[in-house]
Amino acid sequence: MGGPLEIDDLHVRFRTQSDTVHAVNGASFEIAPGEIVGLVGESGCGKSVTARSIVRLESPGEIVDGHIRYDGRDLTTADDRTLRRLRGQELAMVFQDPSTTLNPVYPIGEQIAEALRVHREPDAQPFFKELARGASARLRSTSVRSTVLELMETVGIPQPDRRVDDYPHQFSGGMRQRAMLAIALARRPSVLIADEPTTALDTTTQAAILERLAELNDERGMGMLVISHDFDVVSALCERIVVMYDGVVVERGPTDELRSNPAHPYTKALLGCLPRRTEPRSRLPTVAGTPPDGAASSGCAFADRCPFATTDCRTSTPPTVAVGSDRTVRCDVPAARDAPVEAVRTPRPDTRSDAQRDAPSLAVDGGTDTAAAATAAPGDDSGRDPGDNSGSGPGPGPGPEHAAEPIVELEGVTKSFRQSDALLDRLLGTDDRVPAVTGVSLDLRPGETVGLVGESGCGKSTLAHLVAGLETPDDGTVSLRGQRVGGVDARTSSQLAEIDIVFQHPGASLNPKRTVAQSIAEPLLEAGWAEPRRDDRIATVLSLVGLSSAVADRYPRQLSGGQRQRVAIARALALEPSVLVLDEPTAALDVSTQATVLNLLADLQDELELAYLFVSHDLDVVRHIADRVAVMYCGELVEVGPARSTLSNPAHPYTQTLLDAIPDGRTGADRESRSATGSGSDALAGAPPSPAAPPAGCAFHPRCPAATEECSRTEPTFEAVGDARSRCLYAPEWRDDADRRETDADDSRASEDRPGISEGAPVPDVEAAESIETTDETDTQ
Amino acid sequence: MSKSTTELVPSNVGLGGLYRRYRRFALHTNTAIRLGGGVIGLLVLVALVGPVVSPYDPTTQVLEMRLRGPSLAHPLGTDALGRDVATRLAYGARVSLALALAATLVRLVLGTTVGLLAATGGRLVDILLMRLVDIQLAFPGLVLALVIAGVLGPSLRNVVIALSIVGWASYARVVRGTVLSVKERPFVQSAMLYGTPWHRLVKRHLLPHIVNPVLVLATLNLGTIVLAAAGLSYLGLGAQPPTAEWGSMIADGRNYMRSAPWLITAPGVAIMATVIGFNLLGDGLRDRFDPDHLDDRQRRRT
Amino acid sequence: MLRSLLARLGSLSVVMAGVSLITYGFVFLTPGDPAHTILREQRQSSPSAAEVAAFRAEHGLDDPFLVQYGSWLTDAVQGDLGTSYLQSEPVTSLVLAQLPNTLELALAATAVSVLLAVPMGVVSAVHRGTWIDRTSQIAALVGVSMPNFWLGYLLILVCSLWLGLTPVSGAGTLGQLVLPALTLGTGMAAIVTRLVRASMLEVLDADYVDTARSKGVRERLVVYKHALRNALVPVVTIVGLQFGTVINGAVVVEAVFQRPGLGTLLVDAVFARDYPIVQGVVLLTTFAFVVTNQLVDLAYVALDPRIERRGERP
Repeated sequence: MGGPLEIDDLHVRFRTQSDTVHAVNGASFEIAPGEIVGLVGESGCGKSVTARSIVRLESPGEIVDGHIRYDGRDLTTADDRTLRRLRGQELAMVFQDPSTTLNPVYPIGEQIAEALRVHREPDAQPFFKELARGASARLRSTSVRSTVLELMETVGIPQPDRRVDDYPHQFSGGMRQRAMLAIALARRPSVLIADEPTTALDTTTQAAILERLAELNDERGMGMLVISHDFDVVSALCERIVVMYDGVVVERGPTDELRSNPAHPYTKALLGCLPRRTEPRSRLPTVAGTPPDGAASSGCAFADRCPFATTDCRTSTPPTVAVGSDRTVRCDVPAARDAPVEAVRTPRPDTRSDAQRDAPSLAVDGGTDTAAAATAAPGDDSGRDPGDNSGSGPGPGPGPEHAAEPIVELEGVTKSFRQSDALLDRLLGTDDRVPAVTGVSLDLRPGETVGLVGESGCGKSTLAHLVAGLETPDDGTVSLRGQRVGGVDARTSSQLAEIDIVFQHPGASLNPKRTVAQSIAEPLLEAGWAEPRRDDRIATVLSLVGLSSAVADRYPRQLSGGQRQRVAIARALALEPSVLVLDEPTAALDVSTQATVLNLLADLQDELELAYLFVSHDLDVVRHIADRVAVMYCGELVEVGPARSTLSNPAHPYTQTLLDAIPDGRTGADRESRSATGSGSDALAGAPPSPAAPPAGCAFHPRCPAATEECSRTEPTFEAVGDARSRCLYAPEWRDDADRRETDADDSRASEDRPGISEGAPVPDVEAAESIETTDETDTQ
Repeated sequence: MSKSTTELVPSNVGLGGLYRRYRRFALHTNTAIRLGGGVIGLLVLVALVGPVVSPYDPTTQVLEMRLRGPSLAHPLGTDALGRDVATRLAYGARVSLALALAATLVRLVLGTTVGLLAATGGRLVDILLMRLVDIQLAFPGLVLALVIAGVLGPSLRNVVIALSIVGWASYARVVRGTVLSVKERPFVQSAMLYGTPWHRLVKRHLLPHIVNPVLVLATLNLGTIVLAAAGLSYLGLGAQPPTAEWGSMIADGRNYMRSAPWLITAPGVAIMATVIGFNLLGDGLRDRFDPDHLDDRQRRRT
Repeated sequence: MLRSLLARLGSLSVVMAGVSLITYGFVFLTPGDPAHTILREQRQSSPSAAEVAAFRAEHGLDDPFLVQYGSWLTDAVQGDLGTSYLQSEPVTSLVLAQLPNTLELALAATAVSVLLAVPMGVVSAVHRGTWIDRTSQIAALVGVSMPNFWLGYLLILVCSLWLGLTPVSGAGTLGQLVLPALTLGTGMAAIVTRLVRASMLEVLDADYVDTARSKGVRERLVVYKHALRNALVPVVTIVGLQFGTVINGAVVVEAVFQRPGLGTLLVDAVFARDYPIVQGVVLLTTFAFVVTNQLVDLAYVALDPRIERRGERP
């Protein structure tokens, strides 16, 4: 086992022709042997650069100051040979996006084998022999091959002997990340650095990968540095957490202490923003101001966004203060350190100088804008307090559901896409059509929010497009206020004005060559509004979404991500629609920005009586904002019900699977038990089946922990179960059982509680091999 | 495929952005644009002013002054018929630039129209037009131009026609590709949602996005056309004597290579400088406008 | 697999049908009556009406266009490209006689371009921003921008006339191949160098290259095993395309070095308005290009395992 890894006052900068970006400004922390440390921060805080610098892959950045010591050796001054040795034998790295981190032209097996060979003889690496090895499509050496197979099994790739010579593109995202993990493990490293290892994956896959990491740490005593923007991911895994902001470590300490009692205002802000920490439908705390841009600054980088900032904070660099044992904070203001999480909200007006108020909103995403929106909105902030919510808010109760006729109604909607666009296929009519949405019936009432959730590729975006009219159904009907409507071309202008859509990537949904005002003006122009009226409306919607009118003449590239999303929302609101389709509107945003956008959406709904179809893969967000939830799997709705009960007590095993997969950053004891129970949710981590060939019977049965043989034969119907509807043969029992679990202790995730579960669940469909995980993995290890 | 991956990657692109930014600045695009623009500007100046300033006529033969080396009176010497090489070079610049401009313009208009029609018309229109594009691209460019010019009869006008006919398909491809990719972008989908009619959609959202790639392609094309036209003239299919044209000047000078090397050097350098200028300008513009840049093979075809 | 092959053959035959139609239609671009113009230019005097009629009858120019085209195409498919107007020899044998010379030149030039360009492009990309990179970039820019006939004369001037190393013209010996191959190959190399560099720069930025580095793989292997293999896909395209259109350069280079070959045959035929030869050469070279293109596509499958799945490229 190697020694500790120490990062000491690391400075990394990027020099471009026009400016210098200081990505890391003196980061210090250490990882003891066998310890798991988490590194958290929002985009641009320097966490990835720090990670890359550890293995000295910071180029084109340069390390300008500080040291990285591993086992007593200073890596900042090490020569190439030493670095190669260390990378090959001690420090392994796993990168974020598994779709780009594996070499597409070499088989997985060869890529793992290469790591094995390098590990064995880091200094040999014969040039032509290696080239020749790459040229062969199969892994030849039998001894290496068997080690590779073992590694693949260790990381949970099923049927390794069949997959070892496959190419990366033949693997699903989760499997690719496992392959990356195998490459890392091939080196038997002492420290594993994982840079956003699960960010590009579905939640179910994420849960499986996290579990695997925890096991590996347990079994091998391997130290880890886990980098993530997601506090929950890191807390699920790590014993200690390091929080970075603007290239500086602002706080570090044991996970539980840090989460339960964060000291730095930024940590408080980050934790406060998480939707799961607040009551559903209440106002999320937000952080004022905009994330820093890496320009050199004096004083505390967070001062501009911190409600406790003193003049000292802005002028002099704050010292690092010890708070308790093994815990430090880079903040000198005791009031700030002791304040509760809730205190770090939108800053009170009196803490802001006049000068700042006069230069409003342009570079700012959060605070001022939200403040403006809040004042623009009728009713005051307290009306959104959690306590008040249950009484007056459109809660999960019977309120909106029976209040009015549905505004949008889907009935048996089916949509499939052509697989091939080739001329020949078109002429022969032989093209296979891949179903994206199958027989979906759903309605949306005025003023309510329906959350549409599911894994990627389940058809939720297609459904959103169908509602908006960007696609027309092959079968079934979409009705708007009781009238059947077709695609956009077939809708009347008043029908078009009723529904608008907000897309995931705010950058892509605005034409980069048009100013904000021009973009917002477009729908008005098409609706035939005269210019003065248009200008008025633009000003109105901009203030509705909390942007200053100065933004109107800017181009999208001059705005931050959150601001762009506000502009997109403003444009969607221009024609006073009654329905907004929100297609993953916050998925591309940082947590703090996400919080401000979610608040904004809630305010707008209250004020304008909007109905939302909120598409998301993030159950926490949906739980926070939705009245009802619709869960999609393989193009079908598998469960629809009130948000609160469905997301705590689901009537379909798939919903339970999704819930189980959420990393919840519970306490240390849970972390222990989690890694001890082993492959709990790993069995659910298989990829969804190919929509082109869905499994017979219940589409979910190959991944379902409660599947019986009956499930592979009979296709379940959509039946009412209590106040929800579910597509499961055993929905009533499942739910009853879940009720029992609910009343049981918190330990509802232990698998033995599940009804009808069998360790050797029948695996009737060999075709779905990809999705079958070896259920007895723990035994083989 | 790509959709599912982008769908889940949140905006932690800070690092990637940083690296991209770094790379873009490292290319010194401004230098390329300035240098290329400078060369072309100088050339335009020579083409405009040269003939006015020069005391010599480009076509009058002065047999007693044959094959004189460079001197003060004739800075680039004289050719086999006693004509001043520098003067002929300046007149040749007019020919080359005008020809390149004309042929590029025709290609651009023709190709852009076809590309737009293919991308926005119906499926059948698309299939038919793209087959036409495939057919045009299947011909070796210079050979096709050579044959067309030859059949029509050797003349500068026919060279323009020939070079216009062979190059438009690249524009059609670029325009169609760009339009098809922009068409899928959410902002166009939004525009469809509020009922924007097709023609306004094209004008407002699609055309602005094809301007840059087409401009880059055209700039690079100017260079290849200068090269191709010089080649055709060299073979005797372009400008007919006594017109001063760079390619035919090299053809005329080849017999005096040993005794009067300046005869082939001067026009050769002129052609090269012109093409370098256009290439620098085009590369610079491309790096500035479109970091993902055009397929190199599209500009390679004459 | 079978389906993609069928689709490929289908689009190939559509393209070739269009190409042959246009190729055959060239005759009718001739100003005035083709027969009259051809005869006048051959004899430098106006032919009589009877002579024109006889010429038209002999070459079947009186038939409707589609009939003429149909019979020409039917023959062409069977390998008969008609008879030369001037030499009264079958075009097929004239073309076949010249093919080896041009093929030899094409292969040699392609070899020159690949051998020069790949190492230069790789080194340039690996040392991006250094003087090595800048020098090779400037060299490539000059190479792309130089008219190849002019480069040919410069090479003749230096190597043959001043240094006396190589023969000036002709074909057949290795010495006679060197200068033409260099002339043609340099221009091609310049384009390939730029592409290799651009492609390598992109690939060197790819995440999997960092993965390889993070494994502790030697830098040289990172470049040649992990990066170059991926960078080669577009390079193979361009080399294939260049080989397929080498006739473009050959036309000019063969004229410079007074080298017999398809290019010379074509240029002479164009001037003499010997249309059967022109049509034959154009059809053959276009066909060669289209076929090379298909071969390049097949080579992709070997280079990039992802292509197989993607099927037909757009």
